Amino acid sequence: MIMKKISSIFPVALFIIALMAWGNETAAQQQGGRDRANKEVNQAKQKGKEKAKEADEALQKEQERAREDAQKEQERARERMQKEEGRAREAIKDEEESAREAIKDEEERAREAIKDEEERAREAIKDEEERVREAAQKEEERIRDMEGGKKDKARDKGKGNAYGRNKGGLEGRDFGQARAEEARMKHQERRSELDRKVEDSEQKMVQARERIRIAREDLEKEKASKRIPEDVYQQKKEKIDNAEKAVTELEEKIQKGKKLPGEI
Amino acid sequence: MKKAIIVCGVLALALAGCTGKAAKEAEKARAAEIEQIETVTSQIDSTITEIEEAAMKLDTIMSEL
Repeated sequence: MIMKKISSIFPVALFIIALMAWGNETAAQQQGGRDRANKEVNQAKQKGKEKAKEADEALQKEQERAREDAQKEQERARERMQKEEGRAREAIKDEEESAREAIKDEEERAREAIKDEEERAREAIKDEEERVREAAQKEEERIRDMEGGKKDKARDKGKGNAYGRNKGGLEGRDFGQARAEEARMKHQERRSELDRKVEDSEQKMVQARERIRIAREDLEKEKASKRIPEDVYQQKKEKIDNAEKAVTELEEKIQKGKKLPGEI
Repeated sequence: MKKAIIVCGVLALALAGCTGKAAKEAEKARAAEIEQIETVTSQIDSTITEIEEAAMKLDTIMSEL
């Protein structure tokens, strides 16, 4: 009976023992695997750390390079800006120079025009003098012819009645008509001369006004940019004001000339 | 006849007198006209001189500007 019971329990016990032995072995294997895994994990962690370190270094290097690049770029931009400023300054200088030259040219032209005008006026005066001299000579010759060389003092007495004058062979009404005609001719000549003077002076006036306007603008610009001291500004302003007064004076004379009667 | 001659003579004298007076009046009118013309001419002369002086003054001032 007992033997029967032992024989029936024995396989089960054997099985349990074998199972326990297998369990221990598996546990040992599992422990070994876990150790290995831990080791691998540690190695991987180490590698990860190294890689992270390398990545940090690479990042730092990259940042350093980016910073250097940015600095270089800034430097280049500054240089470019400086060059641009230099070029702009040069352009402004050139512009100023050309404006100054243009003003000089304009002044030169105006001076030339004034000289020409003076020359023309001088020639006109000479011509007029010549004409008057010739007319006087002719008149003298005529008188000499008429009176046989005697001088006629009454001739030059001027306006009004012609009592005692040499009448050049004319009498009464004819002489009066001749005198009136002569006076009208002279009036016409002087009137033409006046018209010419008025026209020339008007042109001169327009040019002068333009020059004064430009001079005033330039002066105000110089003052605004503080390129000239106050006393120089005042001196120049006074000159411009005087020029303007002179123009106004000339204009008044021109208006006076225009108001004179053309025909009588 | 005598009377007629005298009347004719008086008429002729009167006519001559009137003609002479008319001629004198015309002469006076002409003289006045001449005087007026000469006055205006002298005004023109003085205006020309004034314009020339003003223009010369302006030239001088403008050359200093």
